[in-house]
Amino acid sequence: MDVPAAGRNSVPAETLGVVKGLLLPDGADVAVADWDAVRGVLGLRLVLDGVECKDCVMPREHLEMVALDALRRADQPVTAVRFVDPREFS
Amino acid sequence: MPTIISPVSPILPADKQLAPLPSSLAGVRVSLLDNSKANAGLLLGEIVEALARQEGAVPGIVERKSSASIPATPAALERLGRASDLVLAGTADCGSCSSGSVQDIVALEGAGIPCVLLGTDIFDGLIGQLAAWRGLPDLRVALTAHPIGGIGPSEVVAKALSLVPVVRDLATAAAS
Repeated sequence: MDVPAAGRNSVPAETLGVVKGLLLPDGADVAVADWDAVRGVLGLRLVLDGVECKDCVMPREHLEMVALDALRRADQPVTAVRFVDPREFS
Repeated sequence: MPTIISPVSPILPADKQLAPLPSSLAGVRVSLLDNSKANAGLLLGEIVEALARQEGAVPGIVERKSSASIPATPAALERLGRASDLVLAGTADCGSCSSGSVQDIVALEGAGIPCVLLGTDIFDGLIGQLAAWRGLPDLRVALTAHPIGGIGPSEVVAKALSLVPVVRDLATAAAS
């Protein structure tokens, strides 16, 4: 099966807004790393620039599960969420 | 690395039931699950003292987690279950500590111990998402203005006293 190339700029704003809303209280943000609209696979990079308490932001595993659950409850076309977490590389 | 996508939608968890509440707090053993966030112990302690003075509640035990972002140990939850009729947990004033506290409360409510989570207003939405994800969307939450950490003791005490009637109403069947 041919899968169209994923686009970075076509993630629905409402989809991204649901995820950003989970992170905003801690001052964190996300950037789209990859978006497969056909399969609904959303790749995100956690942005922690300026976040004073990086450990206050949920760990990646929790983020991925909570974000997917929140997106499904908001009827967003996402089947999987993957985060790249800079804390795991520092 | 290829991504494997399941064709089956994950099933949302069935909602769990909250533990039943007492009709009043008189004689009710109120324990604390302090997640070690700054000022959490002071806030929770002031609330339970006020509930004892005003409502006749009986201060129970205090369990303090080694880190706010992890769930309580099974042993700590078991001690709370044995020694408590009501547990106040907190504080939920960051993402990871909200996640840990919600997980603790789901376990305690499942064991029949009603709980109230103390948190700050800016985490209201996240707490709701976490509670829904854990299958306990009606989790009882008492919120105060952010922050709780990083403020002086007198401010913490003032927040605690303003939360007392909220906690009392959340924790008694007569008011709920």
